[in-house]
Amino acid sequence: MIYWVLFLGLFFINIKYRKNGIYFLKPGFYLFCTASFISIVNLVSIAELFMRVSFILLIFGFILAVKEYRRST
Amino acid sequence: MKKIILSILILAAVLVSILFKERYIFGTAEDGLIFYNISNYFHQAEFTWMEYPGLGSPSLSLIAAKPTYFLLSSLQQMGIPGFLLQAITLWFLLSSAGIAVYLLVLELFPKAEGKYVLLAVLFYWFNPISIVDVWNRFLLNYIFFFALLPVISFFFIKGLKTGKFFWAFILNIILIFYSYALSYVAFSILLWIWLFLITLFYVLFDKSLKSMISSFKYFLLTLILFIMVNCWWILPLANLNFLGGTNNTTQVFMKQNNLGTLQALSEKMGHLTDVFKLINASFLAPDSLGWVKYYYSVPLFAMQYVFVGIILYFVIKFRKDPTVLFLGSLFFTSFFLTKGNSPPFGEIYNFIFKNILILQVFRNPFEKFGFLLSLCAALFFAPSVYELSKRLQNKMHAFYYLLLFIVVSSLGLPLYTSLAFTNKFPPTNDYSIGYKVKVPSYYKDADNWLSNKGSNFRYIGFPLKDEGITYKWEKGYSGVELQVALFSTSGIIHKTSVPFFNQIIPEIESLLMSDNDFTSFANSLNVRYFILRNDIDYILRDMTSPGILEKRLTERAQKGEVKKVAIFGQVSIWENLKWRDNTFYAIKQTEDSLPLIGYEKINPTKYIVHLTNVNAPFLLFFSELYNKGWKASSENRDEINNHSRVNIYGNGWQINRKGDFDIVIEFAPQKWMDLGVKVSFGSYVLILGFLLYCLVFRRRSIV
Repeated sequence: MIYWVLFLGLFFINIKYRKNGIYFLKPGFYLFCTASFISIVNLVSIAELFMRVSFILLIFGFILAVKEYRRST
Repeated sequence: MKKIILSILILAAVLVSILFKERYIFGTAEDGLIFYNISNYFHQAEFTWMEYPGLGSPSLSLIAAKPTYFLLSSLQQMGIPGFLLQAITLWFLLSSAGIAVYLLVLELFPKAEGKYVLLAVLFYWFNPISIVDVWNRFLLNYIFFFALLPVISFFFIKGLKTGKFFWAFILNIILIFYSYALSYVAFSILLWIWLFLITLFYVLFDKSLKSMISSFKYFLLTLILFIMVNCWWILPLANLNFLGGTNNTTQVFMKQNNLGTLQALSEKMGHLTDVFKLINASFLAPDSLGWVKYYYSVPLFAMQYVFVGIILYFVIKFRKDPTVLFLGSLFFTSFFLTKGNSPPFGEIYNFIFKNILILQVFRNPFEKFGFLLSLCAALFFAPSVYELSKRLQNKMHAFYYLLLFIVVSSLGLPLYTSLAFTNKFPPTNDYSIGYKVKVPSYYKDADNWLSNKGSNFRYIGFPLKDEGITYKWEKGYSGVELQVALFSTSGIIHKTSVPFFNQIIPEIESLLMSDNDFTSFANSLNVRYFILRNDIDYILRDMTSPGILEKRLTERAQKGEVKKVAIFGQVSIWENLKWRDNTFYAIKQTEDSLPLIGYEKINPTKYIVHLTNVNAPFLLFFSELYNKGWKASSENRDEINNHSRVNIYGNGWQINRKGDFDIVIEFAPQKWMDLGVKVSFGSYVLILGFLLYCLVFRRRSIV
């Protein structure tokens, strides 16, 4: 449920501030790198949490990138 | 381009040569030992009803493997050894997968340099999903699907990009070489989910409405052609599962707790930290072999994250490129499906899984959707490394060769060292054995001996327990029972979950060990011989000792019930002295005498029963496993409707007619197969004719 709330939160942030996909893709990527590092040092449950948030940011950013492409053509 | 394709062919040949240098057949798990005796497997797929294992069952989707079995069994009958056929098959699949990945990357990213594209090929062959789910599982239909996926994707995307419907025809013609993959229904469904996703995302990045409509038309044409050319297995399968609903096993599968299984498997394998590494988390267990522990070690994990990190970096960097967005959509969707119903957003997977019954075949999402993820990652890998190398400028070559070294030396290591073909179960945990199998020659002698006795009986194999078995041979075997590979005669050799049959099996050994009449019971199953095998690891499999069983058989021999009639190495054959052919027999219902019964077997799905001196009503018993698909009709094609299950497992028909007459017993779905074969053959002729027309007249507008 918390992930749906996060996704909706991102959705409303985007409506209010009209951010581009890159604003979500980049943090998603950095979070992925951080989660990878945490996973390697064997803090698996924290890494998994980071990875989930990273996944949501990447998906959301990617959807925005698709929208931007469609709007530009 | 030619150089790279030649390199792929040579690399695949080298890999296969390393694996088969000792000239042994490979076999394990659910596949058994197909290449030992392909003809026997061909017979299973030849008709809609297979007489073994057990008391018979519908062939179902196995029919789709018929062309592959036919080709391979013909080659084996020409004298080509099984190991060579297996090597050639694997070489063909590895090569075609590699070439298709290469062409696909060039189709999507035409500017990518050849040597970088080769990296994508190696990544597809060696990535952890392929190593575990394809090579270590070593199921032939999985390996076929591994090759089919990039091949079909290439032709399909080519058609979408050019807008030429010609490619839909080519795609469906080529499909017959990979039809073995479709013998597993989940792969047929997965293939169409994949092609639908490709169409959907392609359309999403299309500019004009006209080409969008054209893309959907192309998808529909491909689907229609697919159904037409595959009618030979789609029609009987649809008849068995949906139209007539005569398949008892499918009904059992649908009633199973698939949601519980999905939940458990997603919890185990759906962690994002594992899926991002393309790692099957369930493969590592405390008792795993040494190489598995190395494969799941920190340096390898770090490397996997780097690979996926490079891909993500590329997607973010080139997020305005329609090809990147198209492939990225497929990548993230595959990712989402592979993790199953694990968070985040697992509820979506759950909802679809619960509401679309046919999708219950995806109760192990990592195993199925992992194929899609593996392909997407491989396709992204080459351009990602290329672009990153360009950014590194003068260190470009060093970076490429470093990655090439890592992919080959670390990811590919289990494949070319044959470690991927080992498992934790003995004897496959012995690195010198693994999945290599050498069947002792006495099995061929025993099979020939049994075949010479006719085909109107069954045998029971002892010791008899579950489907899994371990043979203690020079190069031993661990996997499902090898009944189909070892014997051409139908027999009962292991337990299964097949309804009705599963009620009988647990009784067999206990009846043999008891003082009760065993031969009458054996007769009711039409069992003429008992095969006792002393080369089974019965302790490991928790089975009854062959010594105890032999002692009991000897006691029954002293009573005149059975007789030891042949010994072949570690296998002895005992005859049921009270046996009579019980394929068909009459069950008395009145005091009147029973009719005389004779029969002709046309094929496993059709029998003609000759009845003489019928004076009173009786019940006609047929000893194949009960299935609603079995139909009885008189000479003038009038169906005898009162079909029922008799004697726990068999088919019975109430016969009320008097006099001398014939009855035809048929397995009804076979008619659908016969019709399907005609439709498929006609479709192939039409498609080939169309392609010939295109090539001869060089219709560039079409091609």
